[in-house]
Amino acid sequence: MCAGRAPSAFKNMNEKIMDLYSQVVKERDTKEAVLRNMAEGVMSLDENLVITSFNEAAEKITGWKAKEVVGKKCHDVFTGFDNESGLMVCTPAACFLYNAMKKGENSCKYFLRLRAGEKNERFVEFNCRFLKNGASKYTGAVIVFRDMSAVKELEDLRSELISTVSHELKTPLTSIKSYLQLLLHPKADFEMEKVKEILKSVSNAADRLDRCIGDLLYASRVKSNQLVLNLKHLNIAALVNNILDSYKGKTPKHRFTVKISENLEIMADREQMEYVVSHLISNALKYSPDGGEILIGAKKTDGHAEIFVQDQGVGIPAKHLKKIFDLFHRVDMSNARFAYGSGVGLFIVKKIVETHGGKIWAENIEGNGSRFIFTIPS
Amino acid sequence: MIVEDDESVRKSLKMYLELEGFKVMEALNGREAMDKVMTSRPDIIVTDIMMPEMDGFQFYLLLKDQPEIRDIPVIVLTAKGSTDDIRCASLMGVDEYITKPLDPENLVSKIKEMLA
Ligand SMILES: Nc1ncnc2c1ncn2[C@@H]1O[C@H](COP(=O)(O)OP(=O)(O)OP(=O)(O)O)[C@@H](O)[C@H]1O
Ligand SMILES: [Mg+2]
Repeated sequence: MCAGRAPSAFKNMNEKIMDLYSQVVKERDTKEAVLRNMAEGVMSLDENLVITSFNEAAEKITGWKAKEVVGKKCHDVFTGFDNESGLMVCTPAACFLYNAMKKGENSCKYFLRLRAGEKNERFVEFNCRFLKNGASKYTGAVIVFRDMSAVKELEDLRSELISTVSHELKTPLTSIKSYLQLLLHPKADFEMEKVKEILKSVSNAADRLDRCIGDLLYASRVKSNQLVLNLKHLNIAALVNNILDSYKGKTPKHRFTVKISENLEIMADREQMEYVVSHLISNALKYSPDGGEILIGAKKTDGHAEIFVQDQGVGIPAKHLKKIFDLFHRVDMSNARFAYGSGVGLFIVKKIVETHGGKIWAENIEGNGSRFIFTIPS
Repeated sequence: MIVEDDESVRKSLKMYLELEGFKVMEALNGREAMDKVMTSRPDIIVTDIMMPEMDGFQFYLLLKDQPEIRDIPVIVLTAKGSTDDIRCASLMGVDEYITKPLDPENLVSKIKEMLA
């Protein structure tokens, strides 16, 4: 009986083991695949904080190969600095893992500036979970780390933005305040004409403040896609000439040339098109501090009207040509600070053009200057 | 001397200081200020930070580098809320700074204090 069933029972058992084994293998493979393909770097350490595994993302973030680091002590491999104090923390004494273990913690978290490769620096968030045997004996640790460099960059951009925006807002506010104090000064004894002149300056500064705030609000509205178009037939030449009239006599260093056929029309929102064209013109002026020609042209191409504004100014470094249309993106001009702004203008311009179904891009001109071109379907 | 690129701020401060009995020179940026300081020495300098060509900090460093003019007191105008500016100002040992939007009355009392 027993002997009779033995082979089949054995076979059964064998199959079961095989099944189980293949299941385990499969599970291990998927786990490995998951680990390998995870965007987060994962490494495991033994109780002496010697690295025992290192996934692909970890290799990518740090630039080291698993085979170079496995078997080494974590703090001998990593060179990390505390983000705030700038102090080196990957030493046996300063190691945040040791310190957490000394305190008997189950997990810990840390933000490090990691030196990887030659001068490549990354901002990395480490999340560590300790493995314990019982309540107090550490058997190892699993550390998940995430490259936060892009986030850090954004954060830096944000603080830079706050400083430029606050400069843009505080400047007109300062002059408003000074003019008003001037009028209120106990020794003040101005003729009516002078008072009017001063009040006119106050009013101009208030307008500037209003424009700046308006731009910021507009940008946030545009960002949440709340742009409504009021389409009308617009004559491009008339629109451009109208805008240029407001610059008459104000920019002696620049010459305006307009090359637009008189009857070129588009279907567009007047107010928004005015914003687009006048912003491109004001940028062209602002970024050509030595003056030169500002050329504005428009022509019909199939299905579109193509409009451009071209200057002879400082031009745009190639790697910024696309990015300047991003919100708050400005070309770093720390060594030639000739123009301040908040980096919202082109973002709004692009949104307007795209809402009209058109495209916008920037080009550098051989020699000097740049050209901004946009299309509007006709 | 006032060093400030914004015409309206510069003009309003100049008028205010003149009313207070000061004689005021103007410069649009650090470079222009540097030229003017060399030819006609002011008693005190009030400078903005963000300016084209040469900013307030560069100007300050250059000024403090020249023995003949380094003892002219300087007041730096910073935009409030920009802690970087303030940190930078104190790192460089700037004599005095005032945050924008500034109160001209406040500026005058600082100036008088520093000239006393
Ligand atoms: N005609 C131009 N020539 C050279 N660089 C330009 C030109 N137009 C724009 N740029 C670059 O693109 C960046 C973004 O322009 P944008 O108009 O969005 O912002 P801004 O001019 O800095 O500030 P604001 O929002 O106050 O206009 C600018 O900071 C500048 O570096
Ligand atoms: Mg602009």
